[in-house]
Amino acid sequence: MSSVLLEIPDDLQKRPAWLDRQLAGTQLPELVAELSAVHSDELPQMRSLADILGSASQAVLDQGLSALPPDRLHDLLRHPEQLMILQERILVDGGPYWRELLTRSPELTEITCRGWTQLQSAIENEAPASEGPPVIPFDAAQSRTRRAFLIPASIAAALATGFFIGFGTFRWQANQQPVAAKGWGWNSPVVFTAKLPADEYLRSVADSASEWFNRRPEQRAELAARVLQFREGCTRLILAKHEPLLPEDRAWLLERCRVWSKAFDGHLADLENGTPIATVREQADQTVNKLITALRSRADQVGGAS
Amino acid sequence: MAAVRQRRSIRSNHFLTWTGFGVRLMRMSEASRIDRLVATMTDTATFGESIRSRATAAELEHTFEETYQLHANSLLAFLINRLRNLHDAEEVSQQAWLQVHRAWPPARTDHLRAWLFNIARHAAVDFLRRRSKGGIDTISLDIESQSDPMDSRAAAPLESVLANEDLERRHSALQSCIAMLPEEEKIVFIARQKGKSYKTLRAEFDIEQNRAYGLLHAAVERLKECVKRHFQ
Repeated sequence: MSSVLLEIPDDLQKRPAWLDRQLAGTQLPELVAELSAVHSDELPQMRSLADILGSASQAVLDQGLSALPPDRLHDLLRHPEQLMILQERILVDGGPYWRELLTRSPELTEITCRGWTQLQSAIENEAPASEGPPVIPFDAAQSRTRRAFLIPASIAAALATGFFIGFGTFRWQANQQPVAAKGWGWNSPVVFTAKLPADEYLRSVADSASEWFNRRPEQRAELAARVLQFREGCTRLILAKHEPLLPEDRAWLLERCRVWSKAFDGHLADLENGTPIATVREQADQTVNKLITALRSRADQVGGAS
Repeated sequence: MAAVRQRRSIRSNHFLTWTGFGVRLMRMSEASRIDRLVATMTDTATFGESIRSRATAAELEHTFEETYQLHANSLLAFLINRLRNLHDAEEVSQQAWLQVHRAWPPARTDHLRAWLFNIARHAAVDFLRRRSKGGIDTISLDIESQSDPMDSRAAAPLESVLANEDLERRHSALQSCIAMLPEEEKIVFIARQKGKSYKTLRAEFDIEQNRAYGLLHAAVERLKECVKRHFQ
């Protein structure tokens, strides 16, 4: 085993690019563990990521850590736990610079290339038996005597695969419905209990709202149920404590959520009154998109102010 | 037999495709085949239904493959971040992509990334729950008990990193190795880690720049040896 941190360039100007590569690599947890050993003498004063990045937050997401003044970069290294949070933000919200760095990462690419081969096999194994013959090992298939055994064996395997896929699908579908009904979006039990900095809290609320798009109901009753679930989420949001938020941000959130709730009440009424499903779904999509944008803008303001 | 050979050949082609994968990715933009297919449609909201009826099975497989190429690295990094363990992340990544394939194509493409990350998040949660039920992994239990990994940003990440036995060993090893450094080497090493310039080192500790270079080099070599010994 070798140390990650001991490879850090001594040239301070090369550090941002090196750290960018770590953020887009496979060994960030190792680096964080090692940095915390070096800076253990000054860990008590916890600082949030928004605090460290300050106004450079968006620039970092767009251009990488070279956008951060050197003193702040070293603040970040002195608070290694924030690197894990930064990495997640980069992965979810990072711009083309980060995406390119990620897709070029040799360590990640090596694993995902290997993963693709394995995934192909798994997908083939999942395919219904009727689509084609089961995959017979090449060497085994060369033997005539073995082939005599393989034919009934492969039929049995196909039947078993079909049974397990059918059973698995049944169980999967059976499991899906209640989970989706009780805990998606703002109905998730964890969404309003997260102890995050205010801006990240608002972003996580926005992320949860985007789960609206995970299902596209085709039936009127299904869409009504989904609208109703989102509306219930609004009530949960209104009743939640939102501990990470300052009073003015909390008040803003509640006021906005009341507006969104009314919009969803309207979508429900439209559905009940016979408005075409596609029209209502599109309007509801627009409402959700607007509220996601509003939450993210507020998060940026809050992050910029801290 | 021919079918088996053909299948093998397809697999082999896939392998060859993936060996040139990094180069291809650099050339690829976000305007993947999905986007091109979407561009032929006016309503992205009904993408899933439209594409199912219009695209062939082969086209769907292509869009899935290109989505994998574009996002697999990000999702893997995300899972390493969540699970603090490369091997677990690799396993969960497989499960997540299998789920993506089962649900393919997504209902919309304008939230494709959010959709993929959501599936990965859920796969990570399922993985940790399965493990905790089996009583195999107390580290995972710790991570999960601080908060649901879907919201692991809420947990104190350093504590959850050091809850992993391997990472904690790494942390302790480096800490004890630093403690064993000769005093001046330790001063220079820590100061450079904190981003202090050589000028500051001279002003604060009266260590000349050339000497500081030498001390730093010696410290790093000593630490590398020491860390290696810890893990032999």
